Amino acid sequence: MTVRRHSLSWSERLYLPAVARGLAITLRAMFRPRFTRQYPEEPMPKYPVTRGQPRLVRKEDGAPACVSCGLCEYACPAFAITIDGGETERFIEREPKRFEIDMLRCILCGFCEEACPKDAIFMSQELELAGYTREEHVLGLEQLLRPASDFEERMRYVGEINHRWHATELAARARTGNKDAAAAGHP
Amino acid sequence: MAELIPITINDREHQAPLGARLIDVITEITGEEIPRFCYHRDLPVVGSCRMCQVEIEAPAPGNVLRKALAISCRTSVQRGMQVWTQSPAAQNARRGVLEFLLKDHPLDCPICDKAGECPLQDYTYREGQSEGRSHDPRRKRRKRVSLGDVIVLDQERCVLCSRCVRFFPAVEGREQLQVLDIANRSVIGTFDDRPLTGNYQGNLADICPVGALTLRKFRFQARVWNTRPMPSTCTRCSRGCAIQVDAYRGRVVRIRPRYDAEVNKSWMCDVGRFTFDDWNLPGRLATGIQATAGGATDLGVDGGAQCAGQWLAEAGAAALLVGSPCLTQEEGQALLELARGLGTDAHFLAPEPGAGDGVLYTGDPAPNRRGLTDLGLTPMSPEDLRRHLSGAGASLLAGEKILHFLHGLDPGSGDVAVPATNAGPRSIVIDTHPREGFGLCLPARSAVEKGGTVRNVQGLDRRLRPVLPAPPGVPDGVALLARIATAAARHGALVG
Ligand code: SF4
Ligand code: SF4
Ligand code: SF4
Ligand code: FES
Repeated sequence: MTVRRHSLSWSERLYLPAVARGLAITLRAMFRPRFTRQYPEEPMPKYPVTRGQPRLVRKEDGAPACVSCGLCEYACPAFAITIDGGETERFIEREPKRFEIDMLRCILCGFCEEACPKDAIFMSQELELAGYTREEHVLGLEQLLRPASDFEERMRYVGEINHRWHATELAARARTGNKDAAAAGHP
Repeated sequence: MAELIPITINDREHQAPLGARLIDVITEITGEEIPRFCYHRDLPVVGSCRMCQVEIEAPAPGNVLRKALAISCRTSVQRGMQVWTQSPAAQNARRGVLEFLLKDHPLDCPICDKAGECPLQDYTYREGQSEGRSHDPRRKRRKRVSLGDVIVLDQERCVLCSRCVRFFPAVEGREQLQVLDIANRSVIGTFDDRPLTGNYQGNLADICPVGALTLRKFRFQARVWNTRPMPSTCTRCSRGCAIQVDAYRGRVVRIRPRYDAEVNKSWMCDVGRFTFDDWNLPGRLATGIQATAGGATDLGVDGGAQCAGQWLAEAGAAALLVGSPCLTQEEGQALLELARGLGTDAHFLAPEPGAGDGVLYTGDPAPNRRGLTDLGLTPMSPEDLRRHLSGAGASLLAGEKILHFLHGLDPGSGDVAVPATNAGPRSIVIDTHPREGFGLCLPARSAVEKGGTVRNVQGLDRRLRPVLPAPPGVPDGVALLARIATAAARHGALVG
């Protein structure tokens, strides 16, 4: 196949008009509002929807809210969570003896938060997750625990989402008489 | 065999034995599991929970056809019977039963060991409703009640099916648990909270359809959806109960009975159920180790087999070959063939059987005594073995736990207590862990790592199945004995 080249005109061969056009674009951009960010001097804005490092909730009495039911471990698509359960003397008989999240595996999907029946794990707003060794990315129980007050905003947000889902589910169930109606609608 | 008569289940014609129990007939014919709490195939039927209701139409007295709800566990197949398992009336009745059971049920699933294999959970998902309609506060009951060393009771989770109450008289012939108090105050318990006793307590955790009776040993060890259950056969006594071994992260965490109509039905004893720690012991032997003057030399498995073959061939008919009573038929046969090649006898170590308990546990710790005897291995008592061991030209002790039996240790006691054995310079042991006092140690697979056949005390052949992977490099017992035989042949023994 032959490619027909069209020969440049005189003004094109001069290049100067093109350079001037380019400079005009640059000039205009200098006065437009900026949308890049001077990270890390200017940190990312945080919203309740931000899904950062998953964290465990510490209850007022100092105990983890987690009961080591293992649902987050099972829900985790990246196999980032490892839990060993054990007996405790407290009223709720079971607590995690080991709870590890491998942040090199974690993909910050938030499935653990969604699976938890105890409101014990939440996605925090921490997104700076760098480190120098592999080991420091495997966070244990003590490193993960944060007081419940840290999650108030996120808890409210997650609660709202659950509530909305539940309402849809109930409406679908009432409409179709099928108890799995809404669930069946979402593969 | 009862007469087969036509019966209509869910509008389809089937044949069923006259007088058979409807709940079993439905499951057998259609594969549909009718929800049940109080009914258990190996316990007396009481029909108290009403969970198994189906709609039937059958001729009533006066020759009228009557349509009604009936509990399928206490209804027998009759002539002219029609059954609907999923009619609106049946579904509604079962949903009602579930709603009442759940009214006072604690929301314990996240901390409940039964979650994941809980019939109450399963039935609720399958045919219950997710919303309760009662606004009464939930009834409070005692939780974490200790019923001895084996079982923990949670009265809140109990659905009062009374399976546990019926279990003891039906299986052990004496009563232990009772329904205490009446009506809405009923709870399960023992008089004065006395601990349960006996060798069959573990079965309670299997038959309890909820997490009211749980095993102390398994408590919070693993979530059941993470465990990998594998069928196998128990090797703690010569009964050979069918079992299911649950492994989690490469360890055995629980053993449960598996139904075997001829051997153990739905039960197993606590000796077999709880002595599995020795299968999780670290420090496994995975190579051939020869004791030398300065210490020990690692020969590798092949080098070890070569060395063993040479020693045995040189001793010839003066070699002493003794297998563990835990050998499978296949391993026993391999040992027998090796012995024939050397021109000597194959023995197996036969400890003195203890007393059984008259139910399942035979008291004989040698699981394959009958099979090895039938194969033609000669039984040898631990005393005789001790006497012959040091005098033999070369000796081979083959199989897991043989030293436990030799020293009269409990085979379930683990590895800690096995003392050094003075067995002479040309002695070989094939075991799971390195043993002191032998010229050569070769690795063995444990009973949960090998496949094979054992013949139980009734003469029934049952399969062992590899549940856990063997440590890398550890050959199957049959393969290792064959390698030794090949090496022995190379050194002049007439193997084969
Ligand atoms: S799902 Fe919640 S309660 Fe369960 S183990 Fe995870 S954090 Fe703990
Ligand atoms: S018995 Fe079943 S339903 Fe009840 S708490 Fe345990 S798992 Fe949940
Ligand atoms: S403790 Fe379990 S087996 Fe016993 S009555 Fe209650 S639910 Fe049934
Ligand atoms: S299973 Fe039939 S009434 Fe309980």
